[in-house]
Amino acid sequence: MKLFKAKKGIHIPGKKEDTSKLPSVKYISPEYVYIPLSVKGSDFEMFVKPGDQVKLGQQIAKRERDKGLPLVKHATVSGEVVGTERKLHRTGLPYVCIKIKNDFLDTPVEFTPIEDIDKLDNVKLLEIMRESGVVGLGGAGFPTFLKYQNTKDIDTIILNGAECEPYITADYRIILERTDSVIDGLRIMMKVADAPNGIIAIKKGKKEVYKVLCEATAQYDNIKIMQVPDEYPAGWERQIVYRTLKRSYENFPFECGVIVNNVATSAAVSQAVREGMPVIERIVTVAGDAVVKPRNYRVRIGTLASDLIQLSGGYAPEHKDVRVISGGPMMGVSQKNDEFVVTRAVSAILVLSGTSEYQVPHHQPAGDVLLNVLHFVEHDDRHFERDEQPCVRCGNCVKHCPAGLQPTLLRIAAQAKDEDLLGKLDVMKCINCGTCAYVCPSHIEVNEVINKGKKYYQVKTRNKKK
Amino acid sequence: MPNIQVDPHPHIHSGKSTHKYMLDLPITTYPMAIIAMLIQFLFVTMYLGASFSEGILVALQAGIVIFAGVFSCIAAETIWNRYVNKEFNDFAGWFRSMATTYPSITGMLYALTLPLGTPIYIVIIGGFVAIIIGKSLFGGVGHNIFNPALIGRAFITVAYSGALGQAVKYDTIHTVFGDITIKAADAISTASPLAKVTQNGGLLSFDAIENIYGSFSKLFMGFYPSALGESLSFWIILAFIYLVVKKTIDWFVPVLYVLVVFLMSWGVALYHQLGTPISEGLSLQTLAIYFPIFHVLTGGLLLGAVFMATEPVTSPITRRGRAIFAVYLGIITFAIRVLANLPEGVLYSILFMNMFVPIMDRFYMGQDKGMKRKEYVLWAVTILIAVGVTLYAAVKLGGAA
Repeated sequence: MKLFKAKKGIHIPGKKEDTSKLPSVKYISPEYVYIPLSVKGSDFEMFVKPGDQVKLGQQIAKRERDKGLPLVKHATVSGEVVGTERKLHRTGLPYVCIKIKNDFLDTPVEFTPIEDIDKLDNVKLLEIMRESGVVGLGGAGFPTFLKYQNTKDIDTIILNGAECEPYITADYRIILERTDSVIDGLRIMMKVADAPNGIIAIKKGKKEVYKVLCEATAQYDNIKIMQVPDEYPAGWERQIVYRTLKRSYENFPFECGVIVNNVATSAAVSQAVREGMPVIERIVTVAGDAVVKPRNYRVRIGTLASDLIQLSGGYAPEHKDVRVISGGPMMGVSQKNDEFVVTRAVSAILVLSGTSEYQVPHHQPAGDVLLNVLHFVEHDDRHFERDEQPCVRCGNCVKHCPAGLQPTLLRIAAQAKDEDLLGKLDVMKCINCGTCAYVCPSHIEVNEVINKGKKYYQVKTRNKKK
Repeated sequence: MPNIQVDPHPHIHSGKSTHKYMLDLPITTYPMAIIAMLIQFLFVTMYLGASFSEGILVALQAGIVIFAGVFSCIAAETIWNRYVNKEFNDFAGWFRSMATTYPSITGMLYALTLPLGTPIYIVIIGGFVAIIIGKSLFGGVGHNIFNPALIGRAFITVAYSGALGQAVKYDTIHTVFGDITIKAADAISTASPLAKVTQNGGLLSFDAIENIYGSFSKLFMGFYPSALGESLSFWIILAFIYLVVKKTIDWFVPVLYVLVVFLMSWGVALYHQLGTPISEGLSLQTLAIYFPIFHVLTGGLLLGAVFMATEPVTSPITRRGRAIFAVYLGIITFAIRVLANLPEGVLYSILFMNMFVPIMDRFYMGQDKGMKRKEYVLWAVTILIAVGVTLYAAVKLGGAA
């Protein structure tokens, strides 16, 4: 029955040509940086108080395991702590941030570099990974060391360099510019997990990256470069594992002996172990059709997005409405204003032109109405949400759903608030990737409705358990 | 400083639209109306010996039937949307309403299933039933359970069976311009091919078909008594290729449907040893291959398989569900054709299977983790049913003949 199998993915035009050839520009001088903590802010233990002098890479806040995900925050510039202030986080929520005034000296903390990683034991390496605050830099922000706490039966570490979202070229530039760090980080992680094999997964068609990686890994027999199809969401953990090793798992990849990390995370691990420097900067792509000069930047964590947009030439003047998005166009969050903080997990800042209301004016000549309705004039890829049509059950969403669900049935169940049906349709397996809404010819915001249904289902089932 | 908007993700779209999707159907079906008129003209003048002016009148009658079918559907939709839904009150609003509810597509598919001599008032009644009972009462586009065009067709088939039974015969053609009597009325002009098969106990030898209909290329081109659009096999195959290339329909639904009917009728033909063995050289008679081809080309199977069975609203949502849907369509079509003595197997099989769409959706509900055990069981049962129906049909037809 392979012929009738769903495709589980869709090719999306990459639109990466604007920035993939541009080397990342170093941008080090924000006057203030904002280190986001959390919405409450009180679950973090702060090591500094207003007026203190901090050094580059110094630990300034920490959250313990019992209050949420264990996270460590570092000063990404040297200077004076001003206080706390609320700024928008990449999730669109106002976070409490530690504001630091930059003194432009970049005085680093003292550190003795480690020459030979073979002499260190795994516990010490894990300790370094935890203390240096390495998190998943691909977009999840999940603390990396947690993945390495139980490393029994792990045989493969996969580095995810697929970067399936359009526009983003941050990982692409990291592989090209910091090839040695990426491979070094992979070897460190393989040592921590006692894994004999390493795989770097990149997208098909990225010849430059493939060549560079092949040359750099020629001396290591146990590191393979594998190509995954140019499809969205090829960078999803489950698909990466399936497409490279043909393994599938229930909840977490370690169940089938695999740990997946982003290439940027690997570079950060290498930096933390070799130089003792936590994640203080990352590559961010500023792109989109409503920004003047799309570019890649190496920025300090805590820089405001508005600074980067200004540096890229600001908003294109021909657009009256724009959307500022932290992350990629498929899963990124549309922000209320452009003063949000670049955190460790923000890989791109997109400035897309706005959605204009799709309204066919009444009392229009019939010819114009015909052209409008047939989408010969008004329609383009951004005008989709205002002219929702009834679902005709064409099956596009089912065909392309990467999780193998039935989005349109889920949508009906979510609108009816039928938790039994939601459960039968496996609503919790939805990863909210947005493929269903992307392909929907009736322009229905399928994933938005499903997401609400998912939250409803979570609340209902939690109540039932109690 | 521009105004910053907030919208839910994803922030981009593939640019697909239902209108573009629906536009492929007029592109393939509207030329069929012209071709149907042409073929009717050629058929009565070249093969039935009618005069040129009579041929023109027949072509005009075909055009009027098709126009009445489309017009009645648009009128029904207009009346419903204007007076029941109260959607519009001016011309632009009407135009928009028509362009987003697609009555013209339903109307054309309905009109193409009508025979040439259908009285116009029956055509109009069927069109109103198709739109109002088949679609609007269920809630409009995307909510109908049954294929609206086929609902209209089934209604007039049952309600006016006498008139429609007469309409398909070519010995006396009832047109709006008066009756045209075909002088050279022979076997070809009196019944549709499948009715002929039924008269002959379900089996026809190759020579009998050649005697009545001439060659198979004539069957392929549509020169035999049938509904207006059903017989245009060459055009329907071209339309199928176009729709598959444009990814408007799933290729395997028509293919599986036709394949199942083909294999089952072939099985019956082989059981009765209608053909010649391979050793006598390859021809249409070899291993009775002509019989399944005859079954595929007649009775509107291709029209139903390409345009009706693939209608997305009334077919299952998953791809594997659609595959099993198509297989059952084939089984039921064949069963109705040979066991129930009804030539309208395609029509009723599609309406019948439309009822089972929710069950098939429920069968494939939840995360797709590959073939489940109950799915293998379902396929095994399906194949057993197909083989059983074929054997039963073979035995029964032999007894009748």
